[in-house]
Amino acid sequence: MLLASTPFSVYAPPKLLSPPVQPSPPLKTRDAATIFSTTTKSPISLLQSPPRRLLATPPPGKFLREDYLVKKFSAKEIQDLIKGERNVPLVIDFYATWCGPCILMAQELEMLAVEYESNAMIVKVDTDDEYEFARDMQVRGLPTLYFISPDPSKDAIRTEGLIPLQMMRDIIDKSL
Amino acid sequence: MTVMRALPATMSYAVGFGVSSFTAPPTHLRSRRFVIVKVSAEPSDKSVEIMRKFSEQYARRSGTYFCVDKSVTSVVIKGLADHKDSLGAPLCPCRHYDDKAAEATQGFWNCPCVPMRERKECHCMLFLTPDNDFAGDEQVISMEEIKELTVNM
Repeated sequence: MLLASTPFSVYAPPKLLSPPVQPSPPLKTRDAATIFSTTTKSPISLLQSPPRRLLATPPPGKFLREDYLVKKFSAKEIQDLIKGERNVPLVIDFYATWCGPCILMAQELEMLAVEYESNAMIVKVDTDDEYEFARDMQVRGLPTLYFISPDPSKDAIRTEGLIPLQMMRDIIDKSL
Repeated sequence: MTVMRALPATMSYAVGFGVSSFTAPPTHLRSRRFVIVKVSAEPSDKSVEIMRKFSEQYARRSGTYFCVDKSVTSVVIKGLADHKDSLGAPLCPCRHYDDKAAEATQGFWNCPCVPMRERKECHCMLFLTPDNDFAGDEQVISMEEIKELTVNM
């Protein structure tokens, strides 16, 4: 089963940034070379040269935008969630910035979040930020998913690697 | 070929790797048993190019293919480059480690990792056997593709 390669979005994202400002026609060749250069030095020189003008809208972050349903949580927030009252299953996604399958997993979880809405709580944890928490939870391969039932007597289910959407649905429906 | 030196965990890792972007961990952390090596924001272009060439060459040699979704390939290549910059060895980016530096020295998870070398199993989905559902038909990826697909990561 091939997954969609683009992130899934249900509605048009809100306009967070101002519309692009048109550059003034007479651009000096030196400025053009600095602005459109691909070397890493150019952003620094661009920032230092007054006056600063927005020539193009910077593209928004691809995988951590404000309108994404699956939010990134800290270790403390997760622990509060687990200890507190819950009446829906909790799905925790442990990922890392440069893990490829985690990107595909994130897209799948967004689809799942849309499907389940408030019937399941889906959150993600960056293992590079929350090092000790990931170690305590014995996370090894990435991505790792933890399915925690609202019923404290039921065991949590843990999966490693990319799993199909249907399997995730089955696990949530079973533990619910 | 890089010579890996086993340094004691309490020593600062600024010695010997020649990494310009690495900073020594704060003093209160140096006495800990583990040196926590933070992932830097963006790997150097040179490392990305090295890992890109390695990926193409190893895919050809092992008869494996890149993922249909090249963003997965790009992200993993950048992850390998990032570990190469910070640890001196391309540690698998799709695993969580207790002690990254020790793992890099030990070598089991250095790309190509032992599961890949022995059984052609790459859970990062970088090298996929032709029978895999996600395998594409390409064994090449350009620097432009990598940059384009990992913008704003």
